[in-house]
Amino acid sequence: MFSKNPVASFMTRYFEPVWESVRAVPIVRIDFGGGKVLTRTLHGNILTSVCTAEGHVLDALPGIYTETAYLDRLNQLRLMAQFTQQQPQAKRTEWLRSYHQRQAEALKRNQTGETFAASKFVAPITKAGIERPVEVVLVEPQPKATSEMPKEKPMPTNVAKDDVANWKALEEDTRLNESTRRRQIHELLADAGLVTPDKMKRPIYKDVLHADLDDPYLGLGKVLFETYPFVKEDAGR
Amino acid sequence: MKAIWFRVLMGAAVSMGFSSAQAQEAKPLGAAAKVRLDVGKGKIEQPTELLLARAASAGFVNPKVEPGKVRWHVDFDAARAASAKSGKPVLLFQMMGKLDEQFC
Repeated sequence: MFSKNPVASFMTRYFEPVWESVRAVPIVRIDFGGGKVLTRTLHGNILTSVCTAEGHVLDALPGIYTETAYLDRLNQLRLMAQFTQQQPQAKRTEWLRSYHQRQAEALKRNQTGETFAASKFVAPITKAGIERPVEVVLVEPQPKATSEMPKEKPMPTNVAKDDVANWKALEEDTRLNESTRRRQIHELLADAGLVTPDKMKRPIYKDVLHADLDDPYLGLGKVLFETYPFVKEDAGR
Repeated sequence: MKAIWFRVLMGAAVSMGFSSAQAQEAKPLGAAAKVRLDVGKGKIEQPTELLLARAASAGFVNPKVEPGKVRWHVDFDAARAASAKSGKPVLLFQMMGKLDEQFC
């Protein structure tokens, strides 16, 4: 995704981006012989957080998204960051907690939460209008029955079967991320208030992305060792 | 030239012979008698954890790649410092593995 110009240029234009590895990713290599080696990663997962210059998490996107949805959500997060800055410093934590609480409740009801929009105010002092800097406003949720995802670019028709399956899997992942997982993140942030990414990393990976960073086998230990026939012998050594 | 080459070869042979002799001298008498021959199948077949650990260090090299076209800061603190100057929020992308490796 980061090799695509629209995403890369959007991120560089509106954010100060940084990437960080939370742990090594499990890699599986199967040697089928005859030079055929299959290499895959297992159980990888990502978390995109938007933070203040002080290092506090404002919001986070769990898991992988389609390009359109990712850009749409990143745009919302950058407007949210701007809106938060517009709040009086003393009330920012309270505002943030309340915002995440409302978003969690909206998602529980399967509804669209509040969104942010940029608005320009033009003051006509002379015949030529003068523009003030962009202000961000909070838009109340529209009375819809279901939460709406941004319209995806249609999938090209001349794609291989595997790519169709991957595209559908990505769309499904995006839907899950924007419903259940986002609700969980809103609930965590409503409870935590202003918090650093270090404090949120483990709970989000464990409870939202189902990848416990403290488990050396990332939840696969049972599968790997339960059927191993010499467990008792090894334990006794 | 030939004489120099012969001396180098002889020197290597002598030092190897000397090392072997040393190794042989270090082994106490009767050490061979203490080796158990009746070991169980579990001891011969390596436990899964050891296999996994050895496989991990078996020489697989994860090829380096460009981490996309985004202009990434080197770390979170650098991004925060840039954010304080520019007014743009920090975007922290966390993942398993490394973004500049092929398999991540």
